[in-house]
Amino acid sequence: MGNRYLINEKKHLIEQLTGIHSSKINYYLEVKKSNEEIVKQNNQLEIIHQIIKDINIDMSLADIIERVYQRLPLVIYCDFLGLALQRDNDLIMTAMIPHCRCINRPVPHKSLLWQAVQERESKVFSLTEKDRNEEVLPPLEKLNIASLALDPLIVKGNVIGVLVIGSHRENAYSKDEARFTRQLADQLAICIENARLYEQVLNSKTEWEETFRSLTDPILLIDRNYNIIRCNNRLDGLPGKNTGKPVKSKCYHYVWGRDTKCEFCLMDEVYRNRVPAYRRIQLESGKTYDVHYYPIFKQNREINSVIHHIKDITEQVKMEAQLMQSDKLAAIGEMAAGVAHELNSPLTVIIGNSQIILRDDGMEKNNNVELLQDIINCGLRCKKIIQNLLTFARQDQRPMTSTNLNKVVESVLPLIRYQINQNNINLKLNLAPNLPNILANEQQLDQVLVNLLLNARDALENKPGDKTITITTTVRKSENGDYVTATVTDNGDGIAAENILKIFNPFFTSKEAHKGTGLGLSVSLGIAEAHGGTIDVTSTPGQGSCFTLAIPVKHQ
Amino acid sequence: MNRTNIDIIKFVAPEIIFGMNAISQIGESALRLGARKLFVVTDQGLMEHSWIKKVLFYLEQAGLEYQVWSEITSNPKDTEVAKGSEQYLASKCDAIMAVGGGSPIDAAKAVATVATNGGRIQDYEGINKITRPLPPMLMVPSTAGSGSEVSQFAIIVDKQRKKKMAIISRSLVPDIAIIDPQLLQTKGARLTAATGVDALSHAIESYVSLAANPLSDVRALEAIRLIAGNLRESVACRTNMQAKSAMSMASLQAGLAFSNAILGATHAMTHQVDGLLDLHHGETNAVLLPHVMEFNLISCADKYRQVAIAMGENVDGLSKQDAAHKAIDAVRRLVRDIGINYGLSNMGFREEYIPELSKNALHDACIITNPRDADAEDLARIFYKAM
Repeated sequence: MGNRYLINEKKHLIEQLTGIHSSKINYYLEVKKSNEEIVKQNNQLEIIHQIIKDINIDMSLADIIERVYQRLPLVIYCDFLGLALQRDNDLIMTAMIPHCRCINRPVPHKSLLWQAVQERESKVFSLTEKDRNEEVLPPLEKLNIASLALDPLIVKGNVIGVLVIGSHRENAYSKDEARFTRQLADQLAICIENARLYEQVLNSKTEWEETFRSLTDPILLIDRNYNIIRCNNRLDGLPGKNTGKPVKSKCYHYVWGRDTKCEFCLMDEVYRNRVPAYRRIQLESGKTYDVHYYPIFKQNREINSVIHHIKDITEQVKMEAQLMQSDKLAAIGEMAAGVAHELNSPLTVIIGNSQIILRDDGMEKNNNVELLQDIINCGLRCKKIIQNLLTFARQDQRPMTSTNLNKVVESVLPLIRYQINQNNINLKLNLAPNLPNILANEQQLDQVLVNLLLNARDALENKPGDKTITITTTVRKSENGDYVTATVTDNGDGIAAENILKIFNPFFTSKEAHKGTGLGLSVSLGIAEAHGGTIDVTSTPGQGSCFTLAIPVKHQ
Repeated sequence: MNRTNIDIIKFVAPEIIFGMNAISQIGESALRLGARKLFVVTDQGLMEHSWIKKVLFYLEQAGLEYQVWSEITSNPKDTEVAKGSEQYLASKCDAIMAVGGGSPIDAAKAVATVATNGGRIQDYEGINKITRPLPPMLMVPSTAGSGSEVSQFAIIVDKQRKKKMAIISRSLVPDIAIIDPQLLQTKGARLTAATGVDALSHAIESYVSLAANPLSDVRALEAIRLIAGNLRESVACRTNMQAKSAMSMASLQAGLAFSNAILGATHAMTHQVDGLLDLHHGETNAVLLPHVMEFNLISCADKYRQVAIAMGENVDGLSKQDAAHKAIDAVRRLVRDIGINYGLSNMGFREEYIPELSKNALHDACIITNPRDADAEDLARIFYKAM
């Protein structure tokens, strides 16, 4: 037996050494084999490439996993695909196909997934029947996974999770597949990290954008050449045409509606001085803006761009004007009240005594009756003037009452008659009879008319020859209803064309510094608008001006 | 056990280019193999000769790049092979060429093996352990002896175990062998003698091998004939080109024979001795061959008769045994004539090595095809005789 064995063994070895069954290994076979491998790898890379191409940066993880799941069976067996991501100290099943109950639950620490995370190595497992029911997997109920490939997702040296690929087949994953899943996991890790970073960036971007959107003032980012880089959506109230897209438009065109750089622009100054700049501008439309320029610096301390902040302060300035006006009026009021108080007593004595003398002398048929009557009338007139003055200067805001504009005109005439007469001005009245009443605050309308009349007087100050102011009241009918108007016309200097739009701006004045405050017309316009009305102006320089206060007739 | 004519036989050989000035074909041949950059293995001794320059010149002429590696000793060591493989891989060469004796050629084969199959050369000791194709191999022998340029053998010393490992695989058969007798002029008398006897031992052992076949037999006998007629002249005169040419052919024929019919006890034993003492393989063979022939005589007297005839002995009318003895005498005479007239003990071999080496020799692949079954004691006896 032993000999037979030996002989057979010897034969076998000689066959090995010289026989026909061993040959020089052929390169061609090797080349074919490696070509096949290359083709296989190419396919795998192609699939990875397609998967990565499919994934958008703003995709959810569930979508990403779904995309991968669609492609994966082309290269490897895949009946289950899942993604577990680290969150705090847990590993959470974040996405999977098919869907299991373990979604969004932490993975048990006994699970193989933890092993892959802790060892930071790709792993391939064949699971026995027993394994499949244990907690080596996240609870993949009824999936009956026989082979499992686990690849930790590593980004910049940190494990962010695990990619889980499972199959019903036994031993579905060899070394080749493991290499492929490793590559896939690496790519996915990058995708997931990118998506995560993108979300962060997007959130902070949105946060800032929302911040700027929430600001009610226009804010723009402008480059050196006045191009708008970005802006918030608050440009509506600005004079610009707002045509086309703001980005890449010139700021002076888009915001201010001009074809050339604004003369009030401070950009050059900002670039020169490298500090923020500020200017208040008034437009012909009557709008007032505070315009701020804040430089933004690049890394190298060069100015990169400028934040252009525009604040509409029209209302604020009007308020300031009104406040100043009312302060002025309050002062006049106090003075007037004092004067009135002082004058009232002597006037009472004068009127009283005159009336006593008249009553007593009237009996005696005295020739001085007419003189006395004059004293009494003048006294009464004085009292009336004082009362009007008090009324005009009174600060308390009365409610609107039914008022006749003719009455308003008549009540202010005594107040300004002295001024008119001083300047030898003819005052003409064309008061329309049967003027309908309006709902108005009498004192405020007094203010407006006094203002218009004083302006007219100032316009006539230097005029030689005939000086005339005409006050006309009338009813104007229009589509928007009926208006009662009071027009003050003078034949004075008139207003220069370039100023005609500015005269209503607060603090704009064409008078010398000590005479005008620039508040009158702006406050007057405010009053007119508060009554739902307007003040219109027409003027020819050298020939005179014509201001019309129009208040709507409200049918009560 | 001997093969019969009805067996299917297989004969494996590289493309062979033989003749004066054959090295002029080197560039062309390398290009045919698809080489772009050659890893040229050679030994320090040859580096000093103009032949290597000539070889490199032919490569340059063909537009080939090369990297020369000559950090090997005779009886190449496993450690040298490991370094060579690293160098080969780092050099990004795509073919390997050896210029030199058996050592550089075997080293080149081993480097090619480790470079493409990985691991250590020890992993491939034995028969058919190579699983992946080697890079194209082109061999240019500068000795007439080893036959390695056409054989499926590579012999590498395991430094730790102090033994020679035989790596045998058809994949080790080079793709092209370029044999130019001119290169033999570089070798001195002693080396010429040693390599010549090596070739003789190849021829005789493969001729009587259990795996011998008609294709190998023809070559073995022709090699014996050429060696018996030309080795003395070749040793005697460096520039005897006729003798050198004949020895080149003999070595080639013997190489083809033993590559396809394998060897016998002589080589199984010399591999042990060389591994231990770092001797020249040819000299050890020369000492052991007659004794092994004596031991084998009873198993293959007919074939030894043919050997005797090939060696020019007159065997007419002699008995089978006597004729066979003539062959042994002829070998002894030849060995003595070329100056190898000492025993193992003169070579630093001591008796206490014998038991161990005899046992080890039984594990050498060459023992399998020895015509007479031998156990450790048989081999030990041969060693004693050869002291």
